[in-house]
Amino acid sequence: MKRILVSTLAQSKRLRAALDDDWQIDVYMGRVIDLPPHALGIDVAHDFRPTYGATQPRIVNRLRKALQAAEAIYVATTPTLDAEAHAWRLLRLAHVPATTPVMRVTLQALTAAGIRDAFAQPRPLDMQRVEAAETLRAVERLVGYLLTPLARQSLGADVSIGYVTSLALQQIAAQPPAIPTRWGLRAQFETRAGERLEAELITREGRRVTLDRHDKAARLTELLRTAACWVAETAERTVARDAAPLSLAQLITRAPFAPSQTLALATALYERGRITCPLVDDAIVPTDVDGALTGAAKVLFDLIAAEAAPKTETLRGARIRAWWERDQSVWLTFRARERDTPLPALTDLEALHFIDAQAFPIGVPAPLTEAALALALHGQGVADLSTCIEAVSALVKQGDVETQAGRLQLTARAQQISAWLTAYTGDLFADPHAVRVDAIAAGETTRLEVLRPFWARLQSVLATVPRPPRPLLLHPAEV
Amino acid sequence: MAPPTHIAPDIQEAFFMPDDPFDADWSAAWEVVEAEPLPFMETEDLFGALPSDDEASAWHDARLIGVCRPGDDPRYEIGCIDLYADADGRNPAGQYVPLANFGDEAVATAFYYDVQGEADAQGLLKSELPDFAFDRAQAFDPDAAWRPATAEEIDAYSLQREFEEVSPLDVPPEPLHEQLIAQGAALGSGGRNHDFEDPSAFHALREIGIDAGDFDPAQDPPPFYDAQTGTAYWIGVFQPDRDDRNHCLTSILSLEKTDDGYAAQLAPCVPGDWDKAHEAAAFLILQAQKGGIERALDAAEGMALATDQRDLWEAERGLALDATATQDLVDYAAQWEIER
Repeated sequence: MKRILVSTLAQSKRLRAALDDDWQIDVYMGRVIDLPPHALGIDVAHDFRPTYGATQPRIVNRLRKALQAAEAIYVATTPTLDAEAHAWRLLRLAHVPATTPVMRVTLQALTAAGIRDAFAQPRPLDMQRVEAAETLRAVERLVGYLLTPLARQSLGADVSIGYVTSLALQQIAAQPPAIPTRWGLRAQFETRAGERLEAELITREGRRVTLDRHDKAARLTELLRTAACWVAETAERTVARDAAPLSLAQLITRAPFAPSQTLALATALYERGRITCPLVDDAIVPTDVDGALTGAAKVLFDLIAAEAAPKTETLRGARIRAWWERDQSVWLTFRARERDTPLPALTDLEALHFIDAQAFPIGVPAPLTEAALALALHGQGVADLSTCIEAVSALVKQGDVETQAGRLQLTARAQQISAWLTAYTGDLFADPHAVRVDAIAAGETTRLEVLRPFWARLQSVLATVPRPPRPLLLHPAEV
Repeated sequence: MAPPTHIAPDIQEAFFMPDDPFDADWSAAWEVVEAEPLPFMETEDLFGALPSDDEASAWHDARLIGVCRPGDDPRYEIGCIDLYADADGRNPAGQYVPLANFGDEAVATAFYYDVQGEADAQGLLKSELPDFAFDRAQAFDPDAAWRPATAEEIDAYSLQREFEEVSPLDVPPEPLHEQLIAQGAALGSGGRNHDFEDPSAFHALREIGIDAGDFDPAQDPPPFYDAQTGTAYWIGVFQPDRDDRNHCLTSILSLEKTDDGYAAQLAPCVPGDWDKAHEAAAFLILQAQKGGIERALDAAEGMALATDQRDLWEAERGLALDATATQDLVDYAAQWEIER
């Protein structure tokens, strides 16, 4: 019997519907094999040899028997580094005979055609990807198990130190303060019909006007209250845009949800067969599977579908003049664009009523959001994007990070943790390139080439982190 | 190698299990309890005040939850919560429909997994769960209806969510901490230079016959210090015979810098075996952390009175130490009858 290993029930259901009865599908959910919870589980003296066992013995035993008797095994788990490594661990623990073919298939789409295509193009298990995942697993275990107890003695029982989460924490702590030095001016106008529009102050040449002091905005606003305003010019152009399907990285910045929620929704849509796999770097596109969607899933699906299709957009814009007479005649020009906010129907020379104006900062670094932080970590080669999203989400759920004015900030407790990390762990979590998981996956370096220098740094941290006060052992001095 | 044709007729090449490049140990026999009980949340106020409903809220999540209704005949209820929250997941509010309730927690748990398993098997999205659950609820009770979720049900949702989600953090269980700290210290010392300068205070201690055996100036925190008198205090265990852990003495060692060098005093408090003396010393450290060394000295004096050690305190902070006095203390400790 040919056996297929999958990691979710939904995958199992889709495969069962697409393949004939020659295939037996085995499903495991979650991390059924892992390092031991009651010991370090990494032998640092012997090339970081891991010790693995079953966290779900009943499931593992059932799978072991099934896999040992298989004619061939197809690993069809999700295409993440962790899933590749987990399948490998499962097959090792099962002692699959060396003569049993073991094929890896990546299910780009959980549709009948997608499944058949994937099974026609298997590949071997990618041991570089397994090695990359094993490296991060070892690093997380060494950091979590050796530093958390030390940190808890100084900071309290609710502190947990992880590798990726600590990198994230230190990157939030290190973000430069957003102190603007230049501002633009955005004004709101109203038509006679009572419809509102927003426009930005520009020069006669069409460039954005920058104010070097924030209070200039208030003075301009006061002057604008006495101004006569009208539509100087309207324009319209039609733009044909090619399909530009979103990747997961783009999706988490565009979707109106937290990145972890977007990831969960996208994964659910994939498992429902509605979109291609969001967990690889490829673009995400809708499949040909139909069906009604509701709520957040529909919002996300509509966004994915809209970007995956070519479209024609009609862009409308208008120039608005504001004029007043004091010592001399003054007029200002504003630009309203449909891409920013919806524009009401306007006609040339139509009179407008000025409502208000506000300064907005320009030239400040983009605020660090959950999505931006996850993308930064992934870009630094630390882990899969999904792993980075989960790590940032964990910080939010733990109450270490909160969003203030659209910008991630450390809570008081997390500031203490960050200060502890800075004081006692040196640059261990300040150097995001110390553990380049992506380079291992690409075959540019190896697990040991990464783990050895990392361990040397962690060793020096362990040697210098102060212990809490403990009873001193006194003896009579030896003569 | 070409695969057997009956396995994959359209495949040109077969792949096989790679070797283990990590030489991992697969022999571990440890197991983790597999069947995790459902976290039932107790609720007293079934229709308590709802959290404020934010105008900016949007659909957030839906889950099956377990709620325990306490009373003379406690009921374990399985229901579905359909939750709305603001963009940050805060200010949750929503609706709840009960599916069924049971007097037996295990039966309720089994029911939960049955219903959840059915939803999983249908590949339902979270947003589709409320309709599915409502159908199930009406199958059990045609009058079943949605009603506003109570704060307790929202708390039960939070608990369930934490229960379902695996944290990416790999944190050791609490009982393992001491062992890991020791392991970390041993592993860390492999990369450390041991040739640190011994503090002069410890040279002085040796001259008066005391050896602070396990003190590590690179890692142990500095002693408690009284800036007014320029005196340093260590709280510890005096073990006269290195091979005999049955005869120990909880002590506070003070070291004062004088014009001539150092003056040391040892305040014995609690005699006993290693465990007893160590426990008393840890208590004194806690007192010093909370209220300074004066509080620890007060506590030590009380303990010394209770254990008849106070008479040995010739001075304010104990027994003035020199090589002879230290030997006297060793000889004295050898005569103790240890209470077990």
